[in-house]
Amino acid sequence: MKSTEIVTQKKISGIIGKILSYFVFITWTLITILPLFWMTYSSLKSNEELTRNIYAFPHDLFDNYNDEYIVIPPQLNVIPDYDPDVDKRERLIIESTSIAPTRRLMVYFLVKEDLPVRIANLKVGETLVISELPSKMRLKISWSTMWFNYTSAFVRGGLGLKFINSIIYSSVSTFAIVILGLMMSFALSKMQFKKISKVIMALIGLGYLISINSVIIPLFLMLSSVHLTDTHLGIILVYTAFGFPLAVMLATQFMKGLPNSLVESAYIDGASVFKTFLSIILPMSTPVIITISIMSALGIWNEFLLVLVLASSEFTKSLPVGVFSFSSLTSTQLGWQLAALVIATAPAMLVYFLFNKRLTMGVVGGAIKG
Amino acid sequence: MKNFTKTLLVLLLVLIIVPSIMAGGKSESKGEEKIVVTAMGYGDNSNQEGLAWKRIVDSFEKENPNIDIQDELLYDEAYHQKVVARLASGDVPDLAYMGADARWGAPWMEADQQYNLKSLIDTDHYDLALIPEMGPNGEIYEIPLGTSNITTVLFMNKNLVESLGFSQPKTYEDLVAMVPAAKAAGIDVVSIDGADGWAWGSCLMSSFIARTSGDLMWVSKALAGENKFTDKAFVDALGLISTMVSDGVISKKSVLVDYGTNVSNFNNEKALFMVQGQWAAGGVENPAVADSMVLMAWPKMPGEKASAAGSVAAAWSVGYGLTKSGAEDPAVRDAGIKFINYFYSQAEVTQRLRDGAIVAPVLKNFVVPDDLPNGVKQKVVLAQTASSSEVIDAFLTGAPNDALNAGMQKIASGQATAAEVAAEVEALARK
Amino acid sequence: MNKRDRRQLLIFFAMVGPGLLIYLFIVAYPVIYSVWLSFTDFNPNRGGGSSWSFVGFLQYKTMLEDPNFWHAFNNNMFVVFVSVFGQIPIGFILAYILYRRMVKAQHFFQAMIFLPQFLSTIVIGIMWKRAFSADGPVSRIIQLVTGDPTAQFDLMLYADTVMIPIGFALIWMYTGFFMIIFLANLQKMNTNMIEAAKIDGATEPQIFFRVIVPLLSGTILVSTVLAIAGSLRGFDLIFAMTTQGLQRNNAMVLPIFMYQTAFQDYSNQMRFAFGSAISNAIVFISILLIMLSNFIGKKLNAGEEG
Repeated sequence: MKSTEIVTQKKISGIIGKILSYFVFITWTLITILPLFWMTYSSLKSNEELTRNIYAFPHDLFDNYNDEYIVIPPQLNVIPDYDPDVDKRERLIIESTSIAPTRRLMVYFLVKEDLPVRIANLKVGETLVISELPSKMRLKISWSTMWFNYTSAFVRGGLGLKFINSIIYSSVSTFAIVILGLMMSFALSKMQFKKISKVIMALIGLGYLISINSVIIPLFLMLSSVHLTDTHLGIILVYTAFGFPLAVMLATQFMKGLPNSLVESAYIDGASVFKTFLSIILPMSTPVIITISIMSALGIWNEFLLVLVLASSEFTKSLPVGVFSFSSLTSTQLGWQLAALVIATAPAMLVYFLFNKRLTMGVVGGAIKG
Repeated sequence: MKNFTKTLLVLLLVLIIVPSIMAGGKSESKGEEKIVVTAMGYGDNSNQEGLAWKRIVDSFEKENPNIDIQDELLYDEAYHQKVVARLASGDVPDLAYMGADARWGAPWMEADQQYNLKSLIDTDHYDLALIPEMGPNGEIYEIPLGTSNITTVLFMNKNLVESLGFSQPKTYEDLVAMVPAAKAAGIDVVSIDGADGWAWGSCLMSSFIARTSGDLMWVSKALAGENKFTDKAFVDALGLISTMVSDGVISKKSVLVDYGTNVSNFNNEKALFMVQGQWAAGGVENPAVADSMVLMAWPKMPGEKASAAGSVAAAWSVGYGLTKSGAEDPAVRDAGIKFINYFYSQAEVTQRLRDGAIVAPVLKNFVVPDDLPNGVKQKVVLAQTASSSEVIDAFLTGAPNDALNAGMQKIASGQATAAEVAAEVEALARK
Repeated sequence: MNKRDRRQLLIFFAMVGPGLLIYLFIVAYPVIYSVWLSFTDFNPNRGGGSSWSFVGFLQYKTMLEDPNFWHAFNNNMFVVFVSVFGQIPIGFILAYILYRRMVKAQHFFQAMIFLPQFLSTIVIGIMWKRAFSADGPVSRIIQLVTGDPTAQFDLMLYADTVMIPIGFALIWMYTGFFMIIFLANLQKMNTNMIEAAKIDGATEPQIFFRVIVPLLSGTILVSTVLAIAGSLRGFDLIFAMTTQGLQRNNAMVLPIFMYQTAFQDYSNQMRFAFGSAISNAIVFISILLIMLSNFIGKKLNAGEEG
């Protein structure tokens, strides 16, 4: 009797625990997915739509078959998308009256000879509907209307170049961190000179307390005096140096766990220190290398302040700074801002979901030894 | 072992050399004879100022193949921060967007990089009478983009106001009278980007202090010690904010509204009025609103003195100038001036006027085109009819100005009283 | 030292050298520079290298007298608190639920909670800023739920509540990291002790508190150190989530205070030196806190064993 009571009690509390657990996990998942989902579909909405109804699905940019365009005169701030010096054909310049009207953001240069006579003869100030245009032109305009926010974010924000910069910073720095960091770790853990090693280890360990943010002022003054600000090299050097503490700490700990006999037998076989490092230690350290690579690359990919302060030209800026420039105080194009957010997030998400297991294991594999 | 050492060395070299070539490549690949002018432009990827800057740099470089403008385009916070950073490092641009007042000129003055353009200015092109003296001996450090830059404009959506049965307000009470009708229609009476501290100072308070004190130059006198921020006039001006919030003219939630949202609220007819500077006129893109909007000075406010009736606050425009280090090399100096003249060419200035970026140009014999958009025409009228008072942050900077801006946000959200904020500003200003 | 040793030493430095040199130049030197800077009135903007002098503890004195410093300090302590007493325990509990397989589809949930780790902090900051803005998505939800069309999410508005949404974003963002770490260590754990405890008739909570928590005390300690160091240096999220002006000042943490002082407050002639003093204070505080948590950890461990 008593034991059944306990069993039922256990069962009930187990069920409550289960319900609670599911509740927590499902809510958390929703809090993660919904904002990202909202951000993604909202990035396909026009500016007007975004203020009109914050939750509505995109409509205006897609339902563009009957969009009205107005003929405008050539003006300084209407920048041709062709080279007027080479291509001398006459054009009809039209601008949307519904998407960012009068802002010269949705402007097309239609070759007059390809247009029906009635439309080619339209005067400045007269309007047309894009369904009246020849189908090739209509499709082109229709298509670029849909992707208005994205092309704008990409072209005007120069996000393409910033994307490449982000890749350069993450990959080159990570590579340097792994190679140089593992060389150090090997020397510190598997060679004699314990005293020096201890001193160096302590020095590097202390570096874990120092972040780029906490020495950004002297770092900036110092790098500018050797003309390394606004260069890829300067930024990569900083990322590399600040990647060492974690890398060396993890790798040293890992290598200490490798049996000394491995190294010793290699020496007896006549292998040099470098050879031993390369052919024995490096392959055996794959798990810790993966961890270091993921942690470093991820941190660098998302780093913001250093590039904000060091990089002044478009040539050296990275993705987070590019994205932030879209949310500056007085920017009025909310749609572009959301598109920039999606552009910055999508690749990371893609990589994450493709290699989820590997990445999670990587972060863990050696990150902490209890 | 040797092999490995070698490979490693080569690898390291590649690691270090490749990025440095990439970094250095930008100046080397373009040929050695080019005159390089480093420039700091003001603007952003998504606004007219920025787009115009990029276009002008491109076409200037095309027309002058021997000059290379190495430009950096920054806006707002990023710009201010970068100016400080570049000056601190000695990486001084040759040509830059700069001002001569306490907000826009301070870092250049501190670094002693202001360069007098007076002898270089082509007086046939620029109208010297329209360019203010910026230094003690009449120096000109930058060429303003335009004449007075009105910061305290009240934008009115005329059609919307009339559709609710009202007309252009003459007094503050007229605004209050609109509150119930606006509320019923689910819209704001006056929209302000209250999340931006500067909007309160530049676009609201700069006018209010002139109104309550009756002195158009109250601010500079306060900094000279003649007035105190704890004076009744200043406290009353601050008090107007809480009056407006409690009357429902300005919504409490406006402290969460940023610039873009403010403009798009007005643009989408979610507010009868908008508070901003004249530059925001170009951002109103809904033709229904843009074609009928009225740019006005604040109506008669409670406790206003007659001598400042109908006044707006206006500051001298910021613009482009050379730095001392840029002017050192005559070739760079001449190339820089050439670019500046190109930037202020008749055609470009007309375009700037048309885009709504300036009120009136500083050029001689400028022909105003007659087909200007409504917003631009309104501005010209406002500039010609309203008397102008000082803009606070042209004189007050740093901690006291920050405290004032934050203080007004606190007043609007009911976290502080006018007297408290005034006392804090006074204390910081006298430090 | 014999020839072989000397050769070995040479090799040792060949291995350590390249990395160490970069490290010393980029990390160690600026630290010393920063300390030096904080005792001077150096301003490179003002006539270059020669016109500076030592001012002793002036910068630190001004800092300690500045109410903004204490405001930022308090906010930072809140962030530390949220990290240590929010992210870590929640992460632990979530990991435990997954470990005991109380929910199905654990890989899916695990991936979802860990996801924010892979997004840029700036992106997350801007996203939450939009979400919490006036008339933004969150306000709209509140309006729907309460039926009051004028309801607003206004926690971002006031100095005493602005840290709540920020704390929420911090927990949302970093809990996944700690969850994964705890989960990995739970899975590595020897299950014999749990089985033994079960046989002894221990209840679920007893197993959790008496067996599992002590077994993972090392992990908890390391996580705490990571959390403290991370939350004291955190800049991006709060920077991106707030608008410059009152809101950012309300939510100011020490790194933002340092940044605004050094790079924006040009009415302060000694801003670089002052900024350095603030950064040094941040490092000093994090060392103190980490030593404290180590001390507490050791005490607790000793207690367990005794």
